[in-house]
Amino acid sequence: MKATRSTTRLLAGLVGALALFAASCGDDDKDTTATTAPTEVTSADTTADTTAPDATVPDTAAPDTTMPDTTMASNPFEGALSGVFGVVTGACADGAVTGSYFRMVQAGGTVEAGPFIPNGDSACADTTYSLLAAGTDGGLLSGDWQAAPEPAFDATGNGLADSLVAPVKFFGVSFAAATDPAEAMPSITGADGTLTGDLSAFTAYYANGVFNQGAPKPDGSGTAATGTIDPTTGAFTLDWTSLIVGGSFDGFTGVWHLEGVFTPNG
Amino acid sequence: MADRGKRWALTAALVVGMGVAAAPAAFQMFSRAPLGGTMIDDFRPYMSNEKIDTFRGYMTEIDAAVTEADQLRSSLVEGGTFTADEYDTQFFGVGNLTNGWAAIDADMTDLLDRMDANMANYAAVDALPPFAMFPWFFVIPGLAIAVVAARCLWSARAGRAHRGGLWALAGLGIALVAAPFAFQMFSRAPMGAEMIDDFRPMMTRDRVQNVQGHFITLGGAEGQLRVAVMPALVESGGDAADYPAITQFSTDWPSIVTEFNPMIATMSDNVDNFQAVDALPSFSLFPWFFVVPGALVAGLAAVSLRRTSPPTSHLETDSP
Repeated sequence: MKATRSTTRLLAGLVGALALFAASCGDDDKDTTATTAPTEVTSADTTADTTAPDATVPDTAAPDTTMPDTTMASNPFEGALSGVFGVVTGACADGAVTGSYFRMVQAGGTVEAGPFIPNGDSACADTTYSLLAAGTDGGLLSGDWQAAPEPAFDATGNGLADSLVAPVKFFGVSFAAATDPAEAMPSITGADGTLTGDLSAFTAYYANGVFNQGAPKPDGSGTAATGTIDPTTGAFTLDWTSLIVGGSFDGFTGVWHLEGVFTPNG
Repeated sequence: MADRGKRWALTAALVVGMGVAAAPAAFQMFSRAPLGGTMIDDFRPYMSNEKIDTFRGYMTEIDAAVTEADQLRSSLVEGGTFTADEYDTQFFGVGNLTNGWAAIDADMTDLLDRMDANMANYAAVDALPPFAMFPWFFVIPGLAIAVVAARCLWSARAGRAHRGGLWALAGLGIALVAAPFAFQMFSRAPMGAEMIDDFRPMMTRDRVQNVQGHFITLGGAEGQLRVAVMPALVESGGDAADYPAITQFSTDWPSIVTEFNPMIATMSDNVDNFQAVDALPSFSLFPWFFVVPGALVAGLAAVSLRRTSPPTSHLETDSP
């Protein structure tokens, strides 16, 4: 009787191991690049979508296939992302705009059709694009705020916040961007190469005026920021629009496009 | 018969008191009056001669720059630096300003004129008690009148003496009549009404959007003049010093934006507040909302007092 049980267990173990081996040699058509991704484990990885590339890679040393594999390598660009979304400076060449930029839709217009405000200080031939460059933090922090300094303006109304992006001249006066600690902490989540984020704290400072440019808005209206992230390199794009409510630009809509490389904390 | 008439007078006073107390709710004053207070507070920084003069100075400065921008275009086109088409295509922002300036100037000047003309009216309204308190100026005396009238009625029905209550009622009526005089409402309220009338054309969403549009035109032109046109002039051998108004416009533009920006914000943010105030009964009528019910209550109390025997004669009648 004892011998039979041991044999059964041995056979079951062999079958399990073979199954795992077969699975590991199988064609994973979801994302073959995942195996080359950095193996740093973050706290967010335990909640990562199980369809993420690394989550499907079995650990052949695991004694029980029904147990979650807590030792497997995970993708640092999946789950709640905490780190710096490094901003690549915008550029205009041959009529094409690359990198990070800001545009503003006039009241009554649409993001698709404009009309967009031409910024006389734009470096682009299409002056509706105002190019953005990284601030002293290198870009947008996810998982932390980047508050505006106190005071937020100089004597002529130029915005002074410079940690997120460098202040940008717009209609002769520099606007600055920061994330307001009075609102929700900026958070961005990666899943299957896409990004979604709560940037409700994102705020622009211009000509002594403070304009929430969050996505969604702090009251939950509007849509969240969305984008893409390369699961191998962390190269990302992040886009959002935000209606200005109140103030001198009431009814206008800010259009933000950030791109660069995400660097996780630690 | 005398008691019936007295009771009728007291009932009427009770109804008037309740009506006065209920008026703020009927006119939605609890929600609207504080919005009016916010508007008065928000406009305070701009309702000064100094501020309006500063804005007018900027308008004069821009006007001079627009005149020079026309001259500059002619110079660059006649000098062969650009063809007219090239200039107009490349510097469409400048063209938008030179072509649209007359309308922008008229619109902005109208705004400043309205603010300037209402400086005294604004000061008069600003000197009134805080708007948020307005509803309570009706509720408190109205309830006091209603309570005193009800007590007098109760006493009359019970056959008890209530001359003190009637005197109190008369006093409340007289106080209500006196309140508008104490707060100089007969002079200030019509000034408030005049200001509301004058501000009505400028405190609309459309008008605010027009002003926003003016600054896009101005900003677009200033940027092109500074970044492209003036450098092109210098490159073609011209002298920027020949166009001092344009140079001054560009030098002052950040200040112009920074000073006008909060004023436009104030207009924009107060469109709803203005509409709330505008939906209230005319300011000119407000003093009468105190005087008429106050006089009525005082008169009704007087009628009741006349129909009520003095306590002494009452005692005399009752004495053996």
